Formats: sequence, C-alpha cells, structure tokens
Amino acid sequence: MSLVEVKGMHFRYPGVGGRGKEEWTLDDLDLSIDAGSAVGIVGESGSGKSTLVRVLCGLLFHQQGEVAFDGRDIKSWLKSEPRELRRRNQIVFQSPRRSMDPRMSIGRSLSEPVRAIERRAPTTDEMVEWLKRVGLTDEVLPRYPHQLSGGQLQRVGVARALSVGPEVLYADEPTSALDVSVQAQVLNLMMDLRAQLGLALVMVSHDLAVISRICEEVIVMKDGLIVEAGPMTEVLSNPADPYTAALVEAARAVSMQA
Amino acid sequence: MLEIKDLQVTIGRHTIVDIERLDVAAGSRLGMVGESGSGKTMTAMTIVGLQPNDAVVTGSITFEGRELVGLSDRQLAAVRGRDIGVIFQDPAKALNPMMRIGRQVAEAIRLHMDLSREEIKERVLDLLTQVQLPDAANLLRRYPHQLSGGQQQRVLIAIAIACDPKLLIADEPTTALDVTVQNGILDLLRDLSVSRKMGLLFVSHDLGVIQTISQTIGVIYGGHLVEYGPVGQVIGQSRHRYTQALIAANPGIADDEHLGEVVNQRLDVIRGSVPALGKFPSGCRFRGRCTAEIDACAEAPEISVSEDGHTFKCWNPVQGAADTEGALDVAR
Repeated sequence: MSLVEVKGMHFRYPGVGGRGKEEWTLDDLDLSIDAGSAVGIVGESGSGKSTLVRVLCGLLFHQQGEVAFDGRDIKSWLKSEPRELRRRNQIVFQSPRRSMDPRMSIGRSLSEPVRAIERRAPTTDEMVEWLKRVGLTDEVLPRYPHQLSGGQLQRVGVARALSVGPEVLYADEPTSALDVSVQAQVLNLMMDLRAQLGLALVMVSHDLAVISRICEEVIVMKDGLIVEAGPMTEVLSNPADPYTAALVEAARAVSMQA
Repeated sequence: MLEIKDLQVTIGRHTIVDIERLDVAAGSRLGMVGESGSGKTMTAMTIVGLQPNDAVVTGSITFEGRELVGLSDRQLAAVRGRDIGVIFQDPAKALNPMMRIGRQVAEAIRLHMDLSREEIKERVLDLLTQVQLPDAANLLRRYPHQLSGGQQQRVLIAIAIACDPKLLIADEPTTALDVTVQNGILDLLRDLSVSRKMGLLFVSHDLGVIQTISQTIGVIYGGHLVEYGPVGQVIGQSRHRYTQALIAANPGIADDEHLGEVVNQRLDVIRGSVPALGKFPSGCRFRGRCTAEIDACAEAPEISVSEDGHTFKCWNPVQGAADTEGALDVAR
C-alpha cells in the first residue's frame, strides 16, 4: 500500500466543461506515491501538473474517483482531521516572493503553519533550528520578504513547509523563478532534506534536466492525462509514449554539453 | 556590422552596463548569456534606443558605420524595425490583443516601406509562410488570443523580419515557451539568419539554449562582459571562473547509461547569489562568490586575449580542463 493512492480521479475547475460535456482538467488519473520516494511530474504548460499536486495535497477537490492518503480518502481526512492532513502534506510554491505575505516578517511567516496546525506559537529556538536546516540563520527572522534574495526566500519557503514535520513535500516549480547559480543550491538542499528526514518529494517541473537529477520516478502529463509513468532512467532512456519521446528529445537538444 | 565600444549605461549612481567591446558580424549569431540583473537585456535594448528614459548612455554603438548613440527618437525609429528587428520575451504581451494578426504584421511593413495595399498583403502572407505558420490566409483574420504561444512568437518573428532587417535582436524569445515548441523557434531563427545573412543577437539566461543557437558567446555578469569568444572555446575551454562555475551549476541531462548514477548526486553550486543593483563589489564583479580569488581581484581585471578572438576578464583564470580549483564549491 502506497502512501498516496489515486484511482480514476477526475477534476475540473468550476465553469470548465460542465453539463453533459465530458471535459476534464485532470482526466481519469491513476498513480501512487510511496513513502520516501522522489517523484517528478513533467509536461507542457496547461497539462495539469500544478492542478494535480493541488488535488493531492487537498487544496483542490476532485469530482470523481479516489484520492487516498495513508489508506484513507482525502475528503474524509479533510472532514474530520484537516489539520492532520495538512501536517503530513506540505507544499512549496513556484514564486517565493508571492508565497510570502510582504507585510509579515519572515519570523511571522515561518511560524504560520505551526500556528494554524498545532495551534501554538513556536519558540524562537525552534524557528532558528528550522532555519539552520535550510542553511539560514536567525538574522532573517525580523526581516521582510523584500529584504531577502529569491534563493533565501525559497529556503524560508522550504523551512516553513518542513516546520510541521510532513511526510510528503510537494514542490511546484520550486527553482524556476531562481537564477541558475542559485537553483543548484536549492536542489541540493531538497536532496539533503529528503535523505535526512525520509520525506517523499513530489516535484513539478517543466525542466526535465532538473527532474533527472533529483527524482527516481517520473510522471509525464499531457492535456490532463498521464501519458507515461515509471522509473526516471527507463522513461528517459526508453520512452514508450510519442509525447514523452518528443519531450526528451527536445530537452536533450538544449541540455548543456560541456 | 554592429560594433559596441566602451558602452556604459548608467541609471542614477549605478552603472548597469559597462562593456568595452562587442561585435556582431553580418550573418553571424551572437548569444549573450547572463543571470537576472546582469545587464544583458539592458545592453540589447540600448542598441535600439529602448533603454529607460532616465538612463545615461555613453560610448559608441555603430551599425554599418553609423553611430546610434545620441540619435533622436525619430532617427532611431527609422532604424528600429527596418534595419534592426527586435523580438521580445513574452509574445502574449508584445502583440496588440485588439488587433487582427494580419494588420499587426502589415503595420510594420507600412511604416517602413512604400508599397501598395496588394503588395503589402502579399508580403504579409509570404512572411507568415516563411515563419512556418500553417494556413496563413486564415490566420490573418485571427486575434492573438486565438493562437498558441509558439504561433504568437512566430508572428512576432514575422513582424521583426518584415522589412528584411540586417540584424535581429531576440531577448529571451523562447523563455515563455514549452521546450518542445522552443526548439522549433530556435531552428527557425537559425535558418532565417543563414538564408537571409541576417545577424542575430540572442539574449538568454539559459546556457543550454545559447549553446544551441550561437556561434559566438558573450558571458555577462554584473554589467561586465566577463568572457567572449567562439562557442567551443567559451563552453569547452572556459577561462573565466564565473563561466566555469555557471556551466557546472547547470543540471543537464546525462547519457542514458549515466542517468542512474547522477540522480541524487549533489550539483555543483556557486555560493551566495547575484548581488542587487549597486551592491556588486569593486574590482572583479564575481569577487565574494568566486573561490579562486587572489589579491589582484580587488582591482578591476583587464581584458586578456586567448586565441581566435577568445577574451576574458579574470586575474586568476582557469588553466586547463583539470583546473577546477575553487570554482566549484561543493559545500552548501
């Protein structure tokens, strides 16, 4: 039994498709995510990658099919123990600047998940410990988002997500707003944290090169469908679906060759 | 064809661009690569006089022997769009959402060429076909939102090449596009450059893309052109520590047989982050992030010449393939 199990899941945004029309943003998806694994979700823009992770961590609600976390339906979790579901599933968003309240100090932003989920204010010592984990110091606590660089903010985003001790960390394009020289730092951080904490990492990216360095499993999406899924090495070296083949070929063509 | 000499762009107290020399020969493809805030877009836009109003430009930019710095807006407008075409990053924002595609392409021709309505229409159709847009006749009547991102970018390219420019400036033209669409646009730009003997100045943050499209590469950091030369040399035998570190920090996709080995292997990183405007150190701009620093780096580096026009500005350059001392900071 995998930690996350999805069967025949359908999702559409309000106003899309509707009455008699069978148009789904996510169309009949099956997938599973094991505890401690690293899964990359790739595909073109509009393929449903971001929508999928939002359904998986309970931020959007699917209309048909099953999404189970730890053997229990996600809707049942949300009904009876929403905070427990949030504690065990956390997400890091694409733009670190837009995912922090500009009027809140970093310390306050960092304390939000614990305030919301554990209903208590974390101590400064705890916060310093979380920051240490991502290579930052207590210096950033009184500062505001505009005073930090993109890379520092994304580290705060990761520290914030990890503060409640999740089992799955979802990351939606966590490095695409960052400079190349900073991207590598954040990717290394994610690898290290996954190894240290035994987290499952589910990472959405349009960049196949990034996924190839950090994920052992890969899911390829197109037009709301999963066209291929499997071990990263196999999907990349021997793609079964024509779209995957085109994607791998295109990504390889512009991949760095020193 | 295009020659930049001692170009400085200053806004307030900050010098954003400070480039001694940069050339684009007719029919050649120059790629300018840099991270955010490096000054690459500012350089490209200054060539066509699209720098911010409060920017002070000194030095010289000559295009076919004609000085562009100091030209009036009107004089520049005659060059821009006619001899020099420009493509911007976000195709959805660069097109007028209220105007049909046909009219937007025709506008560029009408402004610069004296042609009859029929001739213009013919030329528009021809251009849309040249940028490999299917069903061009039908496309004329469409609005931008009815086109995909890749199609929109092709329309922008059609507009940029409408008056047979001798130089095309493309600022991150594929960054907003999916990778499968990106390659088609890169191929198109390369083909156009070759068939029309059109110079191409391609600006991107993506070293992989730059490597694919360019013959010559300029690496820009903190407004300085730190390394410049043929692709093979700059990528294969980088001399500047920043170029070397940037290449190492790029993930890339390994060969099929090595995919499994590199997964979960730490990437090489460059410590710190790109300083904010005005916060760059004196002397070498890469100081503080470079780990091969020596005392001399406190002074601004001079231009060193390697071979075949390969130049770099570094006091302690990479000596050979085996010399990775310092540049790669494996610790987080």
